[in-house]
Amino acid sequence: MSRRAIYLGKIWEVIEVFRTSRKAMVGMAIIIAFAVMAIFAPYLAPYNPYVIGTKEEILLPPSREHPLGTNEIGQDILSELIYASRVSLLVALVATLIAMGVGTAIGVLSGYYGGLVDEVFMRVTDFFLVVPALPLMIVLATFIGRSIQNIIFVIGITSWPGMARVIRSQVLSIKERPFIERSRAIGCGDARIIVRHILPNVASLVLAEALITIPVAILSESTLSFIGLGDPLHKSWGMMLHYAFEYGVLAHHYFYVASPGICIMLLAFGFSLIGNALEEVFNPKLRRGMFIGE
Amino acid sequence: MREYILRRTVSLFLTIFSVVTFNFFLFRLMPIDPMHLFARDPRLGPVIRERLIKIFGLDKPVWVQYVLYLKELLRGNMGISFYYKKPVTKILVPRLFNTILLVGVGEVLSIILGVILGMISAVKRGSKIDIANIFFAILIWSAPGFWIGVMLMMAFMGILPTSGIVSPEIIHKDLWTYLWDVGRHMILPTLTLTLVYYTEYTLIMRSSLVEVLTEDYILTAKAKGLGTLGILLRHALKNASLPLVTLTAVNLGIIVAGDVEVEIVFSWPGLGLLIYESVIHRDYPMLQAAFLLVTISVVVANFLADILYAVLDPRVSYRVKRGLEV
Repeated sequence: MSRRAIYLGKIWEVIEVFRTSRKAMVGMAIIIAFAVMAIFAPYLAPYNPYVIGTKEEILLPPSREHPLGTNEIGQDILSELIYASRVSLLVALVATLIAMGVGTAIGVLSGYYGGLVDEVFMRVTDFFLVVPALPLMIVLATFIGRSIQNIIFVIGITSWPGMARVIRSQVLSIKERPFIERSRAIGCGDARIIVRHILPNVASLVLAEALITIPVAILSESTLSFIGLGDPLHKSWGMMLHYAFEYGVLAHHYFYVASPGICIMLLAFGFSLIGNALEEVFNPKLRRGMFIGE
Repeated sequence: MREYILRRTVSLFLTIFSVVTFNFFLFRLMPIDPMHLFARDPRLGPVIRERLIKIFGLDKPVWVQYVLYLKELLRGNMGISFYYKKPVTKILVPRLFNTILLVGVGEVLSIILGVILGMISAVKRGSKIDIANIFFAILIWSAPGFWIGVMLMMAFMGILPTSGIVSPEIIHKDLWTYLWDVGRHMILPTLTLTLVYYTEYTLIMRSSLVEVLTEDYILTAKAKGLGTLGILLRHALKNASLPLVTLTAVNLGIIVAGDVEVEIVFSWPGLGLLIYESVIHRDYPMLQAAFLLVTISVVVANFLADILYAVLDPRVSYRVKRGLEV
């Protein structure tokens, strides 16, 4: 079987999960809705949310022109929400990609080579696993400054250790299987074994792990932004809540405060449902509690 | 077993050491000159500046500073706050107490709520109640904690106090009014923390209980005529509580660490809010000390959870004895 066929087979397994699990379908529907919102934001949003409004447009209640009202600088909240989905999704996805890359690399190398490599990598992993994530993110974000790239970096660099551990243990068990020994016997090098045999066998687990990392990344982004470490030049749901809280517009502006939170919650919920469904299938050994049973 | 604990203890100290080292070098790498932050007043002049640099040992090479840092840390000296101009520990300790009070109560409540809901769900697995319960738990888990706090704050504005630990005008009255007032201030943040934390306990309780309830000996107990409550109390709970106990032990670390988001929303003067304030004030010694404290408490809690797990689960000590577990 060609390399492509191996990977395609694995992807087919994943698609199978979606077809059979109602949870995964619901999650997928939510995510697609938000993705459409992010991609077509300029067409969907009734106003440009980056244009500052006039004095008369400040903190308007919901009306026909502004379905969710306006914010403290006269911007349409619905338009803000729609545009903000871009940053929230982008940050969560790219940060997860970083975490996926680092986690897979460390997990595979650690599990495959063992010995000193394993020892060193696992010490580093333990360190990141044990340091409380949010304070670490806050400290790092404080140093490197407020921008989207930095937020992505900070979330990515703190989100990989769980993944590395899970993948490592999977690699440890794959390594013992006869076909690995057979490939070695016919003269395959380490690189070839990793690419041809190890990676395809952990691919679906990596995907499942990535999908449970995404909601955590979404929540981390919103929290960092809410605290005031977000990029002030771009709108995200966390930044909207930051400004709402900062300017003390809590009383009577229910729509302003509720809507970004609901968006964060729904998007994270969508990814959680899919991750949940996938992990049930691909990671039955792991007692993660949250993502087991039905 | 003893060897296992010994090995874990060694690795605990190694981790703490690496945390301390990381903490030192991270704050050395920061792009801003600490002297600039400590002595902000431009009128100080170069002479005083020189003297301050000498006093704080900033003229010495980094590794000497590192050794000094370790030495002073062991003596309980965590430096002087840039913002308060007082020893960091003086500010830190009362904050720590506030955090333990708030997060401790929140943690206990969420364990109680989580265990009860998880049990109901496991016993009635597959039913509408179970599905609704799980659905709601995952939904709440997906909501940012600070937002739950803000929503509760909006809902109870004017009815319950929404910020701080005590109303300023009541401080000087008698002890009972004081405690009553603190209790009232605690309601909303505690409620938020309970909502934020209970979901994890519910889902863990449910999954481990479901697993136990499908074992053969439960069927035997049922065949002998034992009711649901009897099965739960006599057979199932004890075996299902293991993951719960370890999760609780891990979360002990969080009790000390505090919850940054919830403390910010409710202006609760705990360790989490202190971390946030230190970020705003660029108070690096304070941030460094708070971060160290938080990290070490989580590390120690994890260590305790590991040991507890090994003690409680005979399978682990068996594996340890056979050299299967490192």
